[in-house]
Amino acid sequence: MAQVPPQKQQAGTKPAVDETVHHESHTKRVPPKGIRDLNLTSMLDVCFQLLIFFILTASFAKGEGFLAADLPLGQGTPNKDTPEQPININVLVEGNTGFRLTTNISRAQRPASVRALFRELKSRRGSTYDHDNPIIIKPDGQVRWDHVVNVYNACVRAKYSNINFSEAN
Amino acid sequence: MKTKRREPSPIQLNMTSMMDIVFQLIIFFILVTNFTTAELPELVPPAPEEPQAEITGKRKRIVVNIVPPRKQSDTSKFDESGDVGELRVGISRIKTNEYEKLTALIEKEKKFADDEGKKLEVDLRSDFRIHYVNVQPVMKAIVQAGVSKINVITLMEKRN
Repeated sequence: MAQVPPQKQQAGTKPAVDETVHHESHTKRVPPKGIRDLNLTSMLDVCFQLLIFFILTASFAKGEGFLAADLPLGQGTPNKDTPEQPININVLVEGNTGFRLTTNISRAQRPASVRALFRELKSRRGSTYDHDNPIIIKPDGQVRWDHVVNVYNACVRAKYSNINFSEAN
Repeated sequence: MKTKRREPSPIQLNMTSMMDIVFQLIIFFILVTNFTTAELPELVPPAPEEPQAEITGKRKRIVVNIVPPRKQSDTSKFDESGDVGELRVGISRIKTNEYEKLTALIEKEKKFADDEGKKLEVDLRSDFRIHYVNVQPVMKAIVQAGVSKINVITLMEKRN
């Protein structure tokens, strides 16, 4: 299609009027009146308040679990048919917060740690002792509960089921 | 010539994406928040090696807390003496050496549980610092109430 060169404007004449028809949409996209000015400021304020509250109150607490213990109620009569040799584990206080262990297990009377005690109990379960052989944990009165529970946990871990606590020494 | 001044159009911030982020954060904190209940006062349970503890689920239980005393110099910290500050069972506070009160309270709860045909379990939640001489009478008081099943509460992971 041949292009028509633009006509030069002559002096004293009016500029040529662009007669091209530009199509304008009659329907301008204007949002409805109610939606146009949605003020989120107060909502954002509330959200920030909530956020600050939850940040301040959030406590990333460590999970807790329980070690089940069935303690004797002190009722009934002792069974004399099968006399069992209970395993005694003494938890003795050492220093201010430390502890040491002694047992009546032959050749393992002074386990160096709770882990060593666990290994000893585990190795003897089934051979020397049954799983329901009574274990009596005998802590000193001044031993921390932490250490007593650690010993109890080692007994549970070694799959013994009849574990008892004695009165404080 | 009179120039018509246009009024400046108000600046509008698009807050949509900001709101999205804020909502995400709120949902996150709602989900992770562990609201401390009156049943579980602040204390640090023992943390044994390789804990064999089970996760505390829904059981008919009563929680006996043995809370150490606070330091006099700094009340935000617990005393390391191994003594007991107070016993807390739910919202009840029991002073040390008032073990008969504890026994009576557990007996009452046990009766309620028996009426419902359920077995009451007692969760013993003691701070790790407490000396055994202070924990053992509590265990004795629980057993005297006719409850033999005591659950020792421990942490499931290492203490910091």
